[in-house]
Amino acid sequence: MKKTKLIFWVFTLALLAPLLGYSQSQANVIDKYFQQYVDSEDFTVVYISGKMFEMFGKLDIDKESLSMEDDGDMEAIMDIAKEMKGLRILTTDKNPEKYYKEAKAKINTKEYEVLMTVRSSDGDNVEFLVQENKETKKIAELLLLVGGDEFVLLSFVGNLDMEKIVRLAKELDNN
Amino acid sequence: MGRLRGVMNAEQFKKEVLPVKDKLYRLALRMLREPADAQDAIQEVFLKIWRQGTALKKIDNIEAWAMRVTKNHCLDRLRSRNRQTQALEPYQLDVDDRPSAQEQLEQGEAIGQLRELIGQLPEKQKLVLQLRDIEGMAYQEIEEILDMPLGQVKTNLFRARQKIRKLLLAVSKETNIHGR
Amino acid sequence: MEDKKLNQLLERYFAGESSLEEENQLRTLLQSRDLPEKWLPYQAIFQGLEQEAAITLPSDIEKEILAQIESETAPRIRQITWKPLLRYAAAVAVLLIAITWWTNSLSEPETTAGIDWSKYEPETPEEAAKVYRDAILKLSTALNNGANSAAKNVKRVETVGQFFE
Repeated sequence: MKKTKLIFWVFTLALLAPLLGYSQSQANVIDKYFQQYVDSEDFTVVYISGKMFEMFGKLDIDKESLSMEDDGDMEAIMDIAKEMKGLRILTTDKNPEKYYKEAKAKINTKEYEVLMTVRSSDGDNVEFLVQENKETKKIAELLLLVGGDEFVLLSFVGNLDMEKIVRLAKELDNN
Repeated sequence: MGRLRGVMNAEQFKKEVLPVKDKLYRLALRMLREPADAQDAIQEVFLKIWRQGTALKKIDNIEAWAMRVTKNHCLDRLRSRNRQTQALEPYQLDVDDRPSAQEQLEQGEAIGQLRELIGQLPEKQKLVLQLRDIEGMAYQEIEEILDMPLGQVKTNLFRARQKIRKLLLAVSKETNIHGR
Repeated sequence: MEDKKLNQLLERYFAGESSLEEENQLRTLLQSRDLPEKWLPYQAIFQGLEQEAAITLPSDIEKEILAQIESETAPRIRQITWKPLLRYAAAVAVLLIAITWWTNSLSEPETTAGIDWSKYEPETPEEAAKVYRDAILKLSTALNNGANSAAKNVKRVETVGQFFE
């Protein structure tokens, strides 16, 4: 009898265990801290799923439709898209500074590493945060917080290569 | 008899445990001599057994175990009454249990005397004889029930049988068998 | 012939060396009707033993025992049946909840933390691509702004050096 009970509980816990791990692997900063914003009328919410990103590869999107000047840039952007699992955008023009401050305060610096904070005099404040996988050196989530005329939260979720992103930025800068 | 299965309920108890009642009773009777005493004792023993509940399932040989409980219970009873077991009158059973008058006559009361003779044996010899020659149990079971090593069991059996023969043959006139 | 066998068995019996089988044989042999006189005393012994073995517990005592047991059984049964049932009910409930939750989370990967993201998706991949482009550009611009700390409007930049050498 005792043995059967033990087996029973181990089995139940084994069933529960993946469920604990599962939700965490899919979690992103919006799910964790900003669920309430999603429901608010003041906010614009956009989501691009991993499946959608997969479709980019199949679409014959040419640089024209995306107003890209350079083929190379186009390629680089699509290259990064391959590693994207999700993009979430949260934005509002109501009380942007308040939300920016709130966002900065809420995001747990144990989970997300602050990459860069920029404070400028003409209003735009920007913060970059990442959640890096120490083993693979890839970025699980990259966050861009903007506060100024509008509040923007960009959440890039995937298996991102930061070098590629930086290279792209430099490329675009040269344009 | 062996091992019991499943949860113990009254039905199962009746089917699987109660059948040993006669053996237990005979043992109690051998030890306590008085039928009324022995009957009381057996009732108490069965209650004891019943109250074990599901622990009964773990016992391999219910019969041997129950016999052991009976033996111990009777010993307790004897001790508490502070009796001398050796020099007592043999028990008197109800009329029905005794050999018929005819049989008694034919055998010269030898049969009736056997009870008395066994009753006169020392405790250990008496019990071994009871379990072997009356209940027909194997040595191993006897060892288990009486908590006695094989050597002792055999010795006691030997002595008991010798004594019985000696006493009984003193009654009869023929002594044709080689004695030892 | 029988005589010899009987003698042998009796010798073994009284020497305490007989097996249960031999003792049974002895018993059978001593039961025959026309037993020579010399064996009669031994017949008496075994008949006496047989009688002792025939004693049974009086049936009214047996009934009393059963009655006592049954009286102890009645409330017990109720206890026995409830407790394990409750324990199992609880365990089964947990199991069911776990299974439901698990299968739910497996079948709807797009619902994380209760947010149904699908309603915020652009309608076409083309549209999505545009949104993505904008996002990437914004990201790049911001990165560049920060990296170029010489930019006049940048008051303060704190960086984690590794990405921006």
